[in-house]
Amino acid sequence: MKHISLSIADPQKRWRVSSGPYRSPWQSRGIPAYLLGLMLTGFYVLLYWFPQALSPLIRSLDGLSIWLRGRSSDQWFLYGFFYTVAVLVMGIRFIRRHHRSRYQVIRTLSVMFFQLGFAFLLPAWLLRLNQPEFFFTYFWPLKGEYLFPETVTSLRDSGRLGFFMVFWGVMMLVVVTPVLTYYFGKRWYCSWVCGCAGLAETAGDPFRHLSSKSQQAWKVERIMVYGVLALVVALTAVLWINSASGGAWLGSFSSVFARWYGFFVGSVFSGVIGTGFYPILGNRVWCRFGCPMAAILGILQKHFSRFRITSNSGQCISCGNCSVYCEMGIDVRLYAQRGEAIRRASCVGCGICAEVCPRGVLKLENAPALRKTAAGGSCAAGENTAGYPG
Amino acid sequence: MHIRRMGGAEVTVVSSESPYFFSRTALMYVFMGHMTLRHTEPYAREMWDEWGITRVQDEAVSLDIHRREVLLGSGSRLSYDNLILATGSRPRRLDVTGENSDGVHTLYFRQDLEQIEATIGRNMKHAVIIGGGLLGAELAEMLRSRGLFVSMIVREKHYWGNVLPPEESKIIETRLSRYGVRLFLEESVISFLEDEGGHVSMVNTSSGLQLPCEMACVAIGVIPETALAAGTDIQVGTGFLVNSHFETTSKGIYAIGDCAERLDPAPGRPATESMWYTGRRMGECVARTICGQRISCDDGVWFNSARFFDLEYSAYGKVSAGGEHSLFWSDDCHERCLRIQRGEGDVVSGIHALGIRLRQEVCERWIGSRMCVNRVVEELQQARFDAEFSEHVFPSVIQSFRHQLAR
Ligand SMILES: Cc1cc2nc3c(=O)[nH]c(=O)nc-3n(C[C@H](O)[C@H](O)[C@H](O)COP(=O)(O)OP(=O)(O)OC[C@H]3O[C@@H](n4cnc5c(N)ncnc54)[C@H](O)[C@@H]3O)c2cc1C
Ligand code: SF4
Ligand code: SF4
Repeated sequence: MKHISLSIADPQKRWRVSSGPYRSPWQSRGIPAYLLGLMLTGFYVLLYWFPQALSPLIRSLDGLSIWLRGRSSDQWFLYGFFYTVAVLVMGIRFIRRHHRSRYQVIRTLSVMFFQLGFAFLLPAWLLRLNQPEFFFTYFWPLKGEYLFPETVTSLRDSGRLGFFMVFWGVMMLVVVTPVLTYYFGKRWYCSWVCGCAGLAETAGDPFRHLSSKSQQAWKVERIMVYGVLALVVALTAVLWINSASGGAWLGSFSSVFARWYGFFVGSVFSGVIGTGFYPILGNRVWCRFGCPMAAILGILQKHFSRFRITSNSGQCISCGNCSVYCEMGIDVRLYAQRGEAIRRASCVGCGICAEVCPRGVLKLENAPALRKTAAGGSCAAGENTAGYPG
Repeated sequence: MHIRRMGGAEVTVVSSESPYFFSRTALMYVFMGHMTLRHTEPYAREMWDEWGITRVQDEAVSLDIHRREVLLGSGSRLSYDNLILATGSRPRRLDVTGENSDGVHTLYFRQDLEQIEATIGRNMKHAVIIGGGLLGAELAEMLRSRGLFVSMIVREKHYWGNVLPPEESKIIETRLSRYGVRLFLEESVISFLEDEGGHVSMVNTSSGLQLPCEMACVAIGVIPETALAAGTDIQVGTGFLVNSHFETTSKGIYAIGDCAERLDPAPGRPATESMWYTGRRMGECVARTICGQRISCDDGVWFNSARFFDLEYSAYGKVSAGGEHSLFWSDDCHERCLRIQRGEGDVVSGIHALGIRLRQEVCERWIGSRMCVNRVVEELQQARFDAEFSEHVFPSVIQSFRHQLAR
């Protein structure tokens, strides 16, 4: 008899099998998750309404701010700094976790790049050059004010660069967005460029499974996201009419409307709830229920796009991984188990469903429908050597 | 579901295991904390009521075929016009001494997870898995996720050797050992020893190895659950015997899924298949039969897919376990491979892929239409299903296959 010791000599050198989020109270709405949520929402409340409370933090960034922007730090610089650091640090975590998928690695590098370059450094540099602070990766209607008369006039009047900024915003919206969405789906923006996505996909990744998959949530989503879009369209229209009529038509109503929109949608929804509630509601609450840009992209994606997620006919075992990890709350399995392609307005093309699927069922595709070749009969005599050399 | 959609008959589902239909295949992910049990239910709970399907959580104890009734554990009776048996299977036993000790587990039912969890709760370190197949690999992944030392006892000369050619096995063996699983090939268990507390403490193998452990999991396959045939005229082989309409020998009684044994299996396919895909297809077919569309079931091109830790495996059609007469490619670091089986007349008869995703629809079409292997090689790109930006191995696969064909 041979007695064998089953301990492995070098367990550290073995590849690890990670256990899932439901084994961690942080990630499964345990007490720590609520505490974290409280901390995050608390930070947003201070940031928006009591910035004085953050002044030691703000002052500590003065050095960096003066170096980058040529002026001392304020609460928004603090926010931008934290935001960017979160995207970069958690982005590295994400890449390490998903390093076997090149799609995930490249996509994450892309959001990290756009956050650092276009949402942090470039606007700072513009300020330093005494130009208007402008975010080239945000457009109307996500940044509604970029098409409000006030902003447009002040940009236009600020010089050639300001004029270009207005032109850029309009071009991105009416030309680039439809074209890119036609070829790639809304993911070109929602998973590769947008800063909200940048944070959601990196810092929010540990919480992606918390999104509700219920039919009810889907109903609420459609009402809210198109509701916010309608609101911002109405607001923009009202502001322009008002400004055209020299303020005579609506008086102060339009600016009150704008303030309320800014408060509820801009601050409360996208910040406090959208980010503060990551550990409770998942990482894409804002993108799913609130973002007017996502609403437009979604309509384009659903009706005018080549993008889809193909299901590998019958290989699905209905395990549900795809649905659990869909941050947009899409019940991917419902389609996959019937072998149907997924074409949903809300899909941001993060590709996680395809990555977690244990049976290789899902594939994100831009291509038009598969070209079918004629079914080949058995080998004809002449065919045996055709088609390859030697 | 299909029956409700097509015929509108009243449907009642009886199961003792779970009040709602769930995906057995996802049990490992529940254990690993990737999801909750609720997530394994493919349909939202309210949908059952919407469809008008009644669910009864109870055991069917016996059948009264003359009065067309099912006797339930609670003592009540359910009458039926058509009865579909989908009793599934139960884990096969080794039948060696010590198999009933505490800490010796199988994995099939939801309740098995709780028992495995209880054993792990004893602060144990070493687990032995008996059986080198798909379920064995799933168990290994589950237990490794808890940091246990995992060993596997495999009867075959190489991993899953009754299905896979040696090259494929080698790739899987390498992957298992990278993940810290220790393999003992060509071994079988002769007994389990238990400690004073009745808990398993050692596994003894045929070649005289003694493996100390605090847990053992037996994963050597399943056998159809046919207890309900007792006292009826339903004929049983290994499973309930059924024709191509899934009718048993008793009128008005059908059997599908793991528990069914085909009297006329499609050529080259076994009479019983304990697979998710097979069960699903049978369900669709039997629904049609019951709703009056009595056409025999199209079995389609056989396929399977699985995963060994993060290594994906898919198979279409038939590939011989010896690996003879096939085109084979594997990458330099032996992490991926592709095999095309050359059948009679040099048509493609099967495809194996490890670490490469293929488009099932395309593979099925090739095999179903008996396409010439040459042509398959030339059109191989069409079957590519790997994620965007992933490494493009097809050019080198095609080149290698062309060389092999030219030889
Ligand atoms: C862990 C695991 C992973 C798997 N992974 C895969 C995979 O990846 N791919 C694949 O193709 N297959 C896989 N399988 C196999 C697949 O799950 C089975 O083939 C499939 O579940 C069979 O379905 P079924 O409906 O025939 O039977 P089952 O799923 O076994 O369902 C039968 C049900 O009937 C109940 N029952 C039995 N008798 C009675 C009675 N008298 N009264 C009341 N209730 C009763 C049982 O409790 C059970 O709930 C896996 C199996 C397991 C255990
Ligand atoms: S469906 Fe898939 S790709 Fe789309 S958002 Fe959900 S997980 Fe991401
Ligand atoms: S993860 Fe894959 S196998 Fe599981 S339900 Fe989704 S598509 Fe099906």
